Amino acid sequence: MFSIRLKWIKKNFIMLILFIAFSSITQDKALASMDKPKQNCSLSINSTQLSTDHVILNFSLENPYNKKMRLLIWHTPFEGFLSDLFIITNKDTGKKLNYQGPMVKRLQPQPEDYLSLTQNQRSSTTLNLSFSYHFKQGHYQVQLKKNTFHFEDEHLTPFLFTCETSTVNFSIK
Amino acid sequence: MKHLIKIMIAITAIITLQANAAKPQLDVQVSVVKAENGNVNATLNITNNGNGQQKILGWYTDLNEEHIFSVKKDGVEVDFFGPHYKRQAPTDKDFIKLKSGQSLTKTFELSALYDMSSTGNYEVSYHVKSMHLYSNKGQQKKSERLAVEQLSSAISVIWLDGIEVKGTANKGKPGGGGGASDCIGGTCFTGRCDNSQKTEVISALAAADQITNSSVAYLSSHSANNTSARYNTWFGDATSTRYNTAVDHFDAINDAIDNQPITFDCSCKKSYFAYVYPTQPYKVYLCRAFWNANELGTDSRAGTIVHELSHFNAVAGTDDVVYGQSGAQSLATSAPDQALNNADSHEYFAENTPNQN
Ligand SMILES: [Zn+2]
Repeated sequence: MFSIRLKWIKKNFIMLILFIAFSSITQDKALASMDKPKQNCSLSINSTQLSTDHVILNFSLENPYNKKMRLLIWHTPFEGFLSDLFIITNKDTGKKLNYQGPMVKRLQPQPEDYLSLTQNQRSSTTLNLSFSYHFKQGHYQVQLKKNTFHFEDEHLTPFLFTCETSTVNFSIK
Repeated sequence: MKHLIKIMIAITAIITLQANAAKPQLDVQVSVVKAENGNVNATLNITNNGNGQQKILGWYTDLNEEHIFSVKKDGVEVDFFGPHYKRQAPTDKDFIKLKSGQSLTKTFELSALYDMSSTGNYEVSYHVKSMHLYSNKGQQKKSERLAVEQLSSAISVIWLDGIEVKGTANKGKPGGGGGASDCIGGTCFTGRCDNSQKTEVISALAAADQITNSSVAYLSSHSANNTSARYNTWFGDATSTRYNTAVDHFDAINDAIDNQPITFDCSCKKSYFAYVYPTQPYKVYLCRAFWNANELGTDSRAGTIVHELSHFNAVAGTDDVVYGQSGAQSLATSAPDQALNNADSHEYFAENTPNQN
């Protein structure tokens, strides 16, 4: 009898510990998800009229934070080709395409180097990749090279956001 | 199958017809002359010989906007060093209107944008191709929008004697002083650099040579297991692979300064320091921040030249991973392999300001 009760306490004690441990984990998770920026980055290639001199990439980003923010557009698709933004691989040869555009060295960011985004606002841009990479017929893979985005809130507090876009495949016939 | 081929021929015929119908009666002539100072100038003349008004897209009348001339030396196409702009579709204001009988004449310095430094027979002609040469086709049918329009001139031929470089100041650079273009002691200039800019660039290049020599000397007097604060601050922990990468990079930068034909272009009016096209060595475009910088020290003219040279794929093929001293320092700590791929890390190692051993 006594030994059975001890067993019961032991068993429930373990359960209790497990319960406390588990609930604190879920609580941590809930806290994290409140602070964690939402992932709303997207990269796609326009498949209509795809040719060696017409490779249109669409990039869009929704403000990942629950407040008004501004994004430094340096090294993002929002400023066009002023740096090597993409890793493009020719899947037939396994070779990376050389970036043919300019790389610009700058001083301090100017006001026009920021993109303002209100809460939940989405901004998108398109780029013709063939202006800065030489394509031939074949199969390709493109991904964002620099996926750390620099945001600032209204108090100029910096936020580093990792833009998780997937690798996009396309073929030029 | 037979039907399909017939239909396709019919479609091709229609497209050709439309392209011909849309073609305005513009006559194009190009004349090429060598000026006394050695520059080669091309004069473009476009005349409307039709009855009505004709339009032509403005940027196809300007060598500073588009690659409008074909230049061949002894039958081989000469590389064009001018800009390649990313553009939106043209709007009506981008077109130049020519009344019946009216012509447009413009002169361009070809030798600033094409390498015409060696001896040979040069053939120059105007040749452009575009889907929007004569009109903004945004409103038209798809087949019309996609028709490529072209306009060409007859070929104009000129014989050029390459200019020999005198003296030893050019440090044995190939291609001599760049012949017909504007060169001093092996360093060439495009984009209308004035005399004081040329003097300042020559001096900044000498300073870049000096800080690069100091970097090479540091790297040859240390080793992967014997680095010091200067290396560790900008490149982090050394392994023999990483250290050898640093050695290779600075040897290549040093070689570019000492032995390669570097061209500086002064046409940029942006707030940037400078820019390069990594696939087009060894041309460096200098912008406003460069002219405002000191010759030596942090973010100096000398350091900017080191930074830009490191970007060329033919030199070190570096990227801009992070910008600025604090960013470069944390990169050295967190990702030393990335620091060796970062142009600013090379610049700051070479500038070595404040001085570290
Ligand atoms: Zn750079």
